[in-house]
Amino acid sequence: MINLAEIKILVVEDDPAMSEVLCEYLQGEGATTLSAPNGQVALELMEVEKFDLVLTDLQMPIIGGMELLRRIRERDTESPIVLLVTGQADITEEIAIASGAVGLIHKPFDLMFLFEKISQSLAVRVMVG
Amino acid sequence: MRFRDHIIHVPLSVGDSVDRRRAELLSVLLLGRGVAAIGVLIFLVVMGPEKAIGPTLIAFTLNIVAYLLARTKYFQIGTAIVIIEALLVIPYTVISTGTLESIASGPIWLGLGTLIGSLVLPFRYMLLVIVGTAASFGVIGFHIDPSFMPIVAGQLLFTLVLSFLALVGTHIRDRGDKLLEAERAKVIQISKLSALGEMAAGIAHEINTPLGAIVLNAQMIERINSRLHDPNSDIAKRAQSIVKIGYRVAKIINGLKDFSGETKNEGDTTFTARALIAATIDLCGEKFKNHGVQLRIEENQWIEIRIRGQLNQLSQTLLNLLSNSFDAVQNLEEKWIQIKVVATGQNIELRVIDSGNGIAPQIVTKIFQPFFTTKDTGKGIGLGLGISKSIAESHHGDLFYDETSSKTCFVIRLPVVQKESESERLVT
Repeated sequence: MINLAEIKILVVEDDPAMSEVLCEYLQGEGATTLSAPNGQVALELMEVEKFDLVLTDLQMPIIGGMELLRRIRERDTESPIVLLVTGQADITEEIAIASGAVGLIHKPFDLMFLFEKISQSLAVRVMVG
Repeated sequence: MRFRDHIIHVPLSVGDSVDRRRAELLSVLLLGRGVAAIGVLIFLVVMGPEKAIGPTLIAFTLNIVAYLLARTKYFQIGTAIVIIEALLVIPYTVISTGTLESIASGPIWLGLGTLIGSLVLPFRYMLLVIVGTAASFGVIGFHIDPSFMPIVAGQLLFTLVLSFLALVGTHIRDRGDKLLEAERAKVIQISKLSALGEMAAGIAHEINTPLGAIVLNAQMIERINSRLHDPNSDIAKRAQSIVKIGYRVAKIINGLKDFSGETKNEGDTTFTARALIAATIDLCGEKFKNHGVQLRIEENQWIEIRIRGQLNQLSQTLLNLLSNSFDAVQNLEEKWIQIKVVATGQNIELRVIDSGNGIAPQIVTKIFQPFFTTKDTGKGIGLGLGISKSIAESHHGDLFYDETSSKTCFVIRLPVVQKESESERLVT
């Protein structure tokens, strides 16, 4: 199992309750987290900080998840991005991966499942790096 | 089938379809009038009064024009004519001195009336007007001069043919209306479900996100508890319960969304019944085997019949029936599920039969209603059959419970692919 210590994660989520519990959990696992309420703030944060992983919601004001994914991919190909979806029929794991994400998680989800997904994503990054 | 497509896919124009059907019937009726006018013409030629030929020819032409009009959006004009003709023909015949010309030119007015008058008038009134007009016309003609008898007889024959056609038209119309009523009820039901689905799709994000937060918080409570107290404490149990309930709510929301028809459209393909069954068994065959449920697929010549549509959706439909059967037979002594393919004319039926106890007669009418389920709470949400039925219907087919079968039997009925040219992408 990968320890999340020394891992920096950006949580992009407009729902404060969701954002808060995600950060709490990840911090509990040893990660450092920063949160952004939308894609625009996320991009601003990414200008000044480097993240090992981005967890992003899809439906958000100003800049949504897919647009954020596209913009991040325009400037770097490495940082793994995991999409958090709420059952949008048109977005499947294949589409998410084809768009440059490393994975997709349907809300609601288990903490164990999230942890596994993050571990896999970080492993992908290690391999790519 | 074409007509049905129209109202299934464009529910808002149901009213238009009624008009369209009326127009179609009216055009049949008017065509009949044209044909009858030819009959009168021939009759007159044979009987000799040449003076009547001209007027009858004009009447014939007017009828044909009216017929052509009835094929366009101006068809309603035709109905109004019938009223006008009644107002014109009788006074004309009475006022004029009862000459052969006045009687023979009756068909002109009849034709003209038909041309102007098909407006909104229901066929039963049309029938009355036609019979009334021609009959009084004939009686008046006969009364004026018995030597006009052949022409009067011709007019009466004309009338009889028209009346007969009007009767047939009315009959077809009434039957059509009944069918239409049933179609309309179906469309309303489908629109209701699809509105429900669209709403669910709209609120899925708003509900699933906070629901996700609830589930995660409950799991955090469980973790914190296991660090501080007994991992099997009541706190852990309550937290686990919250997680379970959270997933159940998500399942309901996601299930409802399927009614919206927003599910991925992968494009139609042509495939055999065997391919559909195989694709479905790939998803559930293993589970059946592990639970000792025997799956029988009857080999026959129909299993190679081709169907056109969305393989994944139809597979979901078949899977739903198989899963229901599985749940029904799982705890029985005798557990088997049979899939039998039968062709019935234009349709192919996939019959799913199982060793279960059948559906109680008092709930048969409810099984397709949303949220109706006989399964334990949390196991089924009562949307499967409704969604499956709407998938079958969107493929111009149906899904129903066969009450005549001695064993539990659900039937997916689909139209078979007729033409070779339709089978562009054959999936085997």
